[in-house]
Amino acid sequence: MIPFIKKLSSKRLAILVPIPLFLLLWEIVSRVGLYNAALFPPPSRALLALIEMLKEGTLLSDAFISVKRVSIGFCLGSFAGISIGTLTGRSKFFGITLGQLIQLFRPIPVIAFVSLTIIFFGLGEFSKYFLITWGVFFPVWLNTDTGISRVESSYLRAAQSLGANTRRLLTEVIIPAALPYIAAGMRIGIAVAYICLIVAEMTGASEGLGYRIEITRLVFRIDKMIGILVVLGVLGALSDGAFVWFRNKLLPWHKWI
Amino acid sequence: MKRKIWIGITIVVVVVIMLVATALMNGCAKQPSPKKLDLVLAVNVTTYSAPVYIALAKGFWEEEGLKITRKDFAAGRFCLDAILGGKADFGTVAEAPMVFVGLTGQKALIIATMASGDNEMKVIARKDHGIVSPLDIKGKKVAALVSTVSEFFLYLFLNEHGMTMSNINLVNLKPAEMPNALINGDIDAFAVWEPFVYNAGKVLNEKATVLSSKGLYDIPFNIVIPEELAQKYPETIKSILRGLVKAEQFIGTNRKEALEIISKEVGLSTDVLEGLAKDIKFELMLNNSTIDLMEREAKWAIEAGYAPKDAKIPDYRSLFYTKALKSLNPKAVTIE
Amino acid sequence: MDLKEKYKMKGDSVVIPKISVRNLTVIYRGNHDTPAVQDFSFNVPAGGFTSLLGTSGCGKSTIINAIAGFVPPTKGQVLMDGNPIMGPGPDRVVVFQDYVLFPWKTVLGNVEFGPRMSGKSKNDCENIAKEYIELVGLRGYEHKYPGELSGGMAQRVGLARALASEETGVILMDEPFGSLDAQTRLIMQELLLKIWEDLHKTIVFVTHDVDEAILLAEEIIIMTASPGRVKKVIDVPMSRPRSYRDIASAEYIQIKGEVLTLIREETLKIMNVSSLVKK
Ligand SMILES: Nc1ncnc2c1ncn2[C@@H]1O[C@H](COP(=O)(O)OP(=O)(O)O)[C@@H](O)[C@H]1O
Ligand SMILES: [Mg+2]
Repeated sequence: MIPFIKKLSSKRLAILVPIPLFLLLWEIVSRVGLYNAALFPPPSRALLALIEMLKEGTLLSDAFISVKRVSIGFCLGSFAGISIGTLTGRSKFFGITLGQLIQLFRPIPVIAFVSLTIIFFGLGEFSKYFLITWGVFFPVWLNTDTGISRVESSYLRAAQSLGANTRRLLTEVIIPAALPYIAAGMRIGIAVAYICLIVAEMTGASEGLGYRIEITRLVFRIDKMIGILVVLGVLGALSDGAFVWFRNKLLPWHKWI
Repeated sequence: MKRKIWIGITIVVVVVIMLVATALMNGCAKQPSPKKLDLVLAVNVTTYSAPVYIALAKGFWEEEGLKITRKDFAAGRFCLDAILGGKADFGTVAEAPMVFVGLTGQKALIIATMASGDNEMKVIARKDHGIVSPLDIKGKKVAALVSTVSEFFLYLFLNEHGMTMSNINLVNLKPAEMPNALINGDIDAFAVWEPFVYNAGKVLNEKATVLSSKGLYDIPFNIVIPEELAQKYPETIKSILRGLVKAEQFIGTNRKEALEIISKEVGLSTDVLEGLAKDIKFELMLNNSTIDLMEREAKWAIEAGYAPKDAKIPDYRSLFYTKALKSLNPKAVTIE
Repeated sequence: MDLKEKYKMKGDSVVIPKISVRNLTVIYRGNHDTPAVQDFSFNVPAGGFTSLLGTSGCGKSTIINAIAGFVPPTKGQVLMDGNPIMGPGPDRVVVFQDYVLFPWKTVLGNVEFGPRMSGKSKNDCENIAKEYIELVGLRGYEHKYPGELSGGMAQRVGLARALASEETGVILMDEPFGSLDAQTRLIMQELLLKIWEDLHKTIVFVTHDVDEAILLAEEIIIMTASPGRVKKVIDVPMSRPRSYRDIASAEYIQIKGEVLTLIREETLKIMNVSSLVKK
């Protein structure tokens, strides 16, 4: 084996090699000319396209508006999911009635709601927020409901015997005990939010990363499209990382798997 | 551990090679046969698709021995996707999407322009949103379908009145979604072909106004095929064109019945259609002016950032297949 | 109502017992044939220390839960200061075998839980909590989470949390030292004895450990195996303060002998080992 590789530790090699190797192979395959370079651009062209969009100013403004939509939709969806999940997890009556209703809607993909949303709420920002909120709601609701209904009864007993009333029981025991579940649901919600964002921006938008993907598709600017996909991937990873960081800061007591 | 990494790397290499191989095989596997009779037609809703509707309704292609499976799309741009993707054998596409085919080095061929005219595209706006004359459109939300004649027409309209695309807020929409969006007030105006402008105007009445005027943009609406069809089945192409010739003759001679057929397809009354149709020339041709137009559109596409800055305007002649139409009617072809 | 049964006579005055369990029968839902506890009666005077001793599954926890208000009596009554118990409340706190500390709260947060629920000011809560954390010897651990504590430390927090609920007159302890190792358990027992002697709380203490019962309690109620009934009440007149050294005293050995015999009978009953019964 080549001597300098021997010097690198195996772990470092495992981290450092795959992505550059993948990019290199992609670059080579794309440049050999078997394919139409416009439709299968090498990564170097995608990078140039990114720089081009950065210069045009569209990349930052698109990313900004998309992140804004994701943030608002994520917050609204999480809020709705946590509140309703607490209700359905806590009350048998709502657990059955509302729970059934929600389960009915849960399997329907967001894409199926795009046209309906446009008819109900038009093409404005509200439709985008609604679709993202809608998507984020389900995983957060499901996890909250599970977490709340699975709070160990011994915690409730301990708190009651120390004088907690119904309200304090909820705020001091039930919700904190369910927080690891809720956080897990919200983490899924982040990924879902980005999917819904793209779906929401595909029609009737005039800015945003999803809009830009659609436009670049229509004019066959696959290099720009790949650039935007990379930006989306990075944004998604950053959001997830930030969430995990905050989660660990806010719930230091829980041992995350 | 180190061995595992090399296994991992090998897997990556193998996967890439396999991807390349499957793509190559896809390109070569198909077996040619003397004449292709089963065809998939990609069509989009517009009055310009009239010859296609007539040929289908009157069985003109069946007379040629062709069996047609029809697929509907929201715009010619999406018919083009079907053609490029091998999902359709011919389809209705205006010249604008073909501009991008040339710019990106892809291949699809125009076999004939079947309809043309300069009064099909319009800009319609909401008067009650404060738009009564073209200049009022500044800063407003205007819908168009990017990369199609819809967007290029909007560009021409703005230019005509001393504006650019940056003066408006462009909303990308499919034509069928535009009337509703305007009626709901989500957008202030849109630019597209018929029947969508008429439909929106009918509902909005005096709340809406058509801002554009006739003559701004003479659109050649075409039949486009995948390159493969031209290479392997030139006879089939002739059959397609013969069916269209019959359809266009039918439009000329059986005006009333033709309008009724079109009426069912586009959802406009025959009276309204009569008004529109008098501005449309239904005649198979391949005109040099189309190439001039496409070159102009290519410049626009490059300026708009739709094509790379260093992109060269391609030789659009190579996107035309003239042989078939020439053999049917040499006078109809002015492209060498 | 029969006054003599309702009130325990002490000297000349009529004293209402702190806790009075009267003919308690508990049958769990879906288990209609076999009661967990049957016709169970006993009293605990204010400041008393009563131990419930029995084999596992005989209904000890059920009795504690009935007094705590977690489980309603199927028949009979549970009274506190002469009033029927309607549900859980801060006048009777529970120390659980598996601690049941709130893992999302720090040691301080756990201990100040009771005072906070009673509406004390933030400052008072913290002061009270710190006092009891100090009492159980956990100063410096205020900001640790339960997940970071050993079993012995966790149960000291459990004890401090119960004590910090200062209005509490009664502490119900359900095998509180059951999951601790022998050494730690001994220390905890001594700590509990000291606290009980200093703070004059009424304690009902469930255990299946004979030594623990004798060392701690004033009165031991030996229970029959399932369903739980009172088999015998044994006074433990050993002098106070007690310590682990007392296990060598003659008095202790005599009581232990008696208790062991009674418990053995019950254990053999449930284990069905007839060959050993004769001996
Ligand atoms: N929630 C319950 N539902 C049904 N049966 C129970 C429940 N809790 C305890 N039991 C039964 O009641 C009996 C007494 O249980 P328990 O009071 O926990 O005994 P101990 O604490 O002495 O071990 C056992 O047979 C047990 O299986
Ligand atoms: Mg028990």
